[in-house]
This record gives sequence, C-alpha cells and structure tokens, in this order.
Amino acid sequence: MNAPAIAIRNLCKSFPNFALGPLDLTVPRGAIYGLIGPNGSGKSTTLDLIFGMGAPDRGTIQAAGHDAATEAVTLKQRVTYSSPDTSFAVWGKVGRVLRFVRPFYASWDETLCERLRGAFRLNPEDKIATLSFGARTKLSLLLALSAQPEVLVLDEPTTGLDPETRAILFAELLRFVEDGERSVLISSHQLADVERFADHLGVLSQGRIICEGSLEQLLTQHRLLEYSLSEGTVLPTLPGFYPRQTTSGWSQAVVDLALHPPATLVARGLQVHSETALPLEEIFLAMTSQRKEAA
Amino acid sequence: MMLVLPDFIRRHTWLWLGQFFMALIFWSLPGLMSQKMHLECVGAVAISFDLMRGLARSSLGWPVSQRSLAGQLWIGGVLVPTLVSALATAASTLIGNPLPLEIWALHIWLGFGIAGTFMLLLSRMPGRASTTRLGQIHDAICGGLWGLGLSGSMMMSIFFMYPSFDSISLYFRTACLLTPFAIWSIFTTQSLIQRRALTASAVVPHPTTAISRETATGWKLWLRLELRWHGLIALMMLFMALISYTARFFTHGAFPAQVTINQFTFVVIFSSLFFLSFGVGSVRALRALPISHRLLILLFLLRPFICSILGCLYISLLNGATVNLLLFHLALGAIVALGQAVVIHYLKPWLAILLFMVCSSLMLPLELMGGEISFFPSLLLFVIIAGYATAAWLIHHSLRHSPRLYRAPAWFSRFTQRHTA
Repeated sequence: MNAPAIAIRNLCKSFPNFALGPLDLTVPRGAIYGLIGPNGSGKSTTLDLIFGMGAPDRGTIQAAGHDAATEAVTLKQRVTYSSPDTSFAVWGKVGRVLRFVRPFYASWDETLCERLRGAFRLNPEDKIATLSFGARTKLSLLLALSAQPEVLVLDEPTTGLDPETRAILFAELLRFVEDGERSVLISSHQLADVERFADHLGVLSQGRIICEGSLEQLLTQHRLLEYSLSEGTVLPTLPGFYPRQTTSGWSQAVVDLALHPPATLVARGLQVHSETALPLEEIFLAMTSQRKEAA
Repeated sequence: MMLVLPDFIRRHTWLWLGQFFMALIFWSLPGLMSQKMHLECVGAVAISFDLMRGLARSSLGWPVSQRSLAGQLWIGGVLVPTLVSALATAASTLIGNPLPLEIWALHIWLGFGIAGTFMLLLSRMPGRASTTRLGQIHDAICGGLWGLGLSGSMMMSIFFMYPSFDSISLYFRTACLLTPFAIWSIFTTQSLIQRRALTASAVVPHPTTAISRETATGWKLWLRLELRWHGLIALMMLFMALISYTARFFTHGAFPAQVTINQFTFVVIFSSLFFLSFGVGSVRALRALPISHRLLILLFLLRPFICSILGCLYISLLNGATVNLLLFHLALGAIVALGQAVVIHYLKPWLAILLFMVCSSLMLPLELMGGEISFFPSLLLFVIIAGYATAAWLIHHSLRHSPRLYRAPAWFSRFTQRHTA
C-alpha cells in the first residue's frame, strides 16, 4: 500500500473574496502531516473540500484511496474529521451523540471510546450546551478517534485543550499511526505542537502551498544567516531567501539552503558571518511575511 | 445510510405528538375555534433549529452523501409532518367528525404544499445577517415570507369561518399554487445544508463586527447598530404593506383576506427578527463590543418595542386607532421580548415555537373584532411591564454569564451555615 493517504492535485476553488489553489498536497501513508498557514489562507476550505462541502472548480482529491467526488461515502467511512467548530448541541447530551454516531462506522472501537471518554472526563449525561469550549473539542476528537479511520483529519485539534489533555491526545495520535498504515492530517496554528509531533509539513499561504516536505528536512535546510553585502551589490527578491529587519549589526535572512547553497550566496556577493538553526515558528513567519509583502 | 431520518424523527417526537394532538383537537371538536388547522410547518421549523445548533457543520464528517442527507432531512421536514397531519385527520374522522375522502385527500395535498414551501423558504433564509443592502432586502423578504407562512398556515382556518367564502375552491387553488414550490424544495435542501456547513462563509464579516470600532464606542456604536436593525424593520413593513395591498387587489377587498394579512404583519416582523438575530449568534458578537450591558439590553428590548408601535400604526391606519389596540400591541411586544430573552438565555426551540403560536393566536381575536375587543387595560399594562422587566433581567444575566438564579442556592447554603454555626 504505497498510495498516499491524501493526494490533492491541481485543486482550485474560487469565492468572491478568496481563491484557493492551484493546490497540490500529498499526505504520505503513516505520516502525521501538519498543514499550517495564516488565517484565511485556505486550510479549512481545503478540509471542507476533502469532505465534499462544496465542489471544487478544478482538480481532484483522493483520500484513503477514494475519490472525494465519486466515492464520498466510502471516503468518509475511512477518513474522519474533528474540529472545534463542529457543534453537537442538537443531540443534547454526550451519550446521545455517541449513540448516534457509532452506527455510522463499521470500524468503531467501543473500548477505545470508553477509555478516551474516561481520559477526557466526558460523562454520557453531560449536557453539550453546558460543556466548555475545550470539552466540546474533546468530544469531537473522541468521535473521530473512536471510529478508527485510516486517515484522521484534525482542524485545530489543540485549541482550548489543557496541557494534560493535549498530552493524552498526542499520545493517542502516535499510537494511531504506529502501524505505519494510518495517517493524520493536522491543520493548526499551534506551531509548537506541530513541530513536536508532525513528521511532514505543508505551508499554505494565500490559497497556495508554498512549502511541503518532511519536517526534519525543512528544519535542516532553513537557516538564519547573518551576512554583509559587498559594496555596490543589490540583492533582488529571491524565492527561499527571506530578509529580516535588523536595527544594527549584520543583515539577517532566513534562507532555504537547498535553493541557495553557501557557494551560490558567495557568488551573489554575500559574505556569511554566521548560520543558526531556527524553530518552525520563525521559518513560518519568514515565509508568510514575504508572501504578504509580495501581495 | 438511513440513520439521520430516524434520529431526526426521534429527537422531535414531542413536536410530532404536539402537531398530532393539536390537529386532532381542532379537527374533531367543531366549534372550539374552527375545524381546520395546518401545522405542517413544524418540520421545517425543527430543521431550522437543528441548523442553528450546528447540524450542518457536524454532518461534515459523517459517511453519508450530501444528497442522501438532504433527502433524509427533506423527508423529515416535508413528508413526516404531512403524514402526521393525515393521521390526525384520519383519527378525527374515526372519533366523530367524518370527513369526505376527497376533502381528506385535498387536506393532505395542501399539507404537503405548505410543508414543502416552508422547506423552500428555509433554504433561502440567511445563515447570517447580510452586510449588503441587496442582501438585507433578500433577507427581509425571506424572513417576512417565513413569518407570514408560519402564522398563515396555522390560521388558514379563518377562511372556513365565513360560509360565503368558497373555502374548498380556495384550498384547491392554494394547493395547486404551493405544490411546485414543494417540489422545488427537493432540489434546494442540499444547497441549504452546504451553505450552512461551509466555514468559508465565515470570511464574510458579521454586521456587528463590520462596524468600525475606532470611531464609535458606547451609545454612538449602539445607535449605529440599532439603526441597522430598524432599517430592516422598515423594509419588512414595506414588504408587508406590498403583500397586503396585493392581496386586497386580488381578493377584491374580501374581509377574510384583509384580516388574515393584517394579523400576520406583526408576527411576521418578529419571526424575521428572531431568525435574523439569533441564527447568527449575534449575542456573543455583541458582548465583545465596547458597549455597556445596559445599552445591550436596550438593544434587544427596543426592537420588539419599535415593532409594537409600527404594527399598531399599520393596523390603525386600516381599522382606526384605539388605546386598547396600542396597549394590546405593546403587550404582544413584551411577550416577544420575553421570548427573545428566553431563547437567548436557554436556546430552547420549543419556547420560540410556542411564542409564535401564542402571538398568532392572540392576534386572531383582535383582528376579528377590528381592534374593538375590550381587554382589561390594567392587565395589559401588567403584561407590558412584567414582560419587559423579566426580559431585561434574563438578558442581563445571560450577558453576565453568572445568573443570580444559580448563585442563590450557594448564597442560601452560606447563610444557613453561618446562622447554624
């Protein structure tokens, strides 16, 4: 089974004030894939399209080996979705939601459901209307995990969760993918969580993927360089070269070393003084701020 | 997977039972009020509340195709209430009010038309208040029609109270008119669910947040918000006047038509406000604005009050003004304000439905007597004061998020502990 867990190809969707794509995204099987991007970059729209909410203008979506346009039901039996903005208030109580959702999934794991319900401290008699924001997120996660899907799609899974629940959640996610066959797609703004648990990453900005690959590779190839320019040299705007504002000392830039190896930089008239590894957040900020400026 | 429909029917059992027994009572007891009552709108009303509580978004991940989900909800919203209504009339026939077969069939046909038209209207109802003028006009028209139908389908009986009126012919013509809308609703239900579920629509700013906060705070901001709502109310009044005069023209001023249209005006405006203001979760958005709680309470209470005055003026122009008429309208406004506060505080759909029914029923005697009905003015005054005061209290505690009602037992416990010690 070498087919990717999710394969999105040339996906386009236009709204009056926003356009998504052309978007290509690949979630490898067995991976925890972090989809990150600024607000309004199209993350939730992409997830909506995976689950058939709205038809794409162009392109294809395949998840767990099924086409989203033609095999929507089979796809949704194998791919589950969790988001803090799904409200289960219609069913009134936690127990009733569980009773309603359970029969949808042949792979539903009642033992896991009970264990997670205990860990998340959700009582079947709890009224959904009185649950806190975090508790509602837990309920959504409980439903998505208990269905034991092939692919788990999580939209902002850690929003509103306390550190203990967050730890439980990530332990469950690691257990979920340990067989190498199941995958997780996390769309999140919590970059520290993504950096800690994801092994693949996609950065979405203004409706397009601007960077995709293994997280380790991304962290290794992006470096903060301190440099000075030879006299008379003017640097043009280069993809993968993100200058940073500095008030004194050498100039600074976050640089994709795969695109700009040190030898190329020297040839362009740069004198590199230091090279520092960066956390994901800094790389993300550098990438997205340049896109914003360019726009 | 046919799991949604049984769940929908089970969750709203109380509604079907209510519809069944109400219809049974009205159809089997001639002389109580009238013999005909249509409550087929309850299906669409139940779906509207489910959608308000997030059904569409939560259905995103279910392994059910959009078409199947829409189909199941359409059956729940249109066919189930029609069936319940048919059963109720059949039961009433058995109990002692025999109904000719053709009238029974006509009743079912009309019920289907009413239920389907409601589903169609629901699919045009706004998911959030529009920020553009055109959108607001569209919302006002759909909200107005929704309210008109809600009250109108329940009160179609009024035509049967006038022997001179050819009610069977009217039933038949209405059924013919509504059937295409009912069939059309089959195709619009799917888009309704999709529109309510899409998060991308969240990019559109809410009117309460679209207003610039840099230039206005406090009462100035409050005034801007309020004027926006009153712009909508004015639009609805214009729309109702248009419907009223069109109906007069086509019915050649027949009294039942006048009465029916007049009585709905008031309820229409309130029902529109309900769906426009609560369907968008504006309470939470409003709470974040730099406005004091007192102004926010005023914001919610002024709307029914203004509607009362406008409704009264409108009917006064047609039937002549009396003090009782004004008091009666203000009392209705107080009931609606209270219902509004209850919905904000508890979010109980059945309370809102009950409120619409109470308002519709209360309008009936007033209209039939041309505003001359003599209620006790002191009782009306009491209803006005008590209604608005209780509504203000409920909204205040809803905004503060710590109702004193809940704090009272703790206070009592501390009090008794202190004194027993």
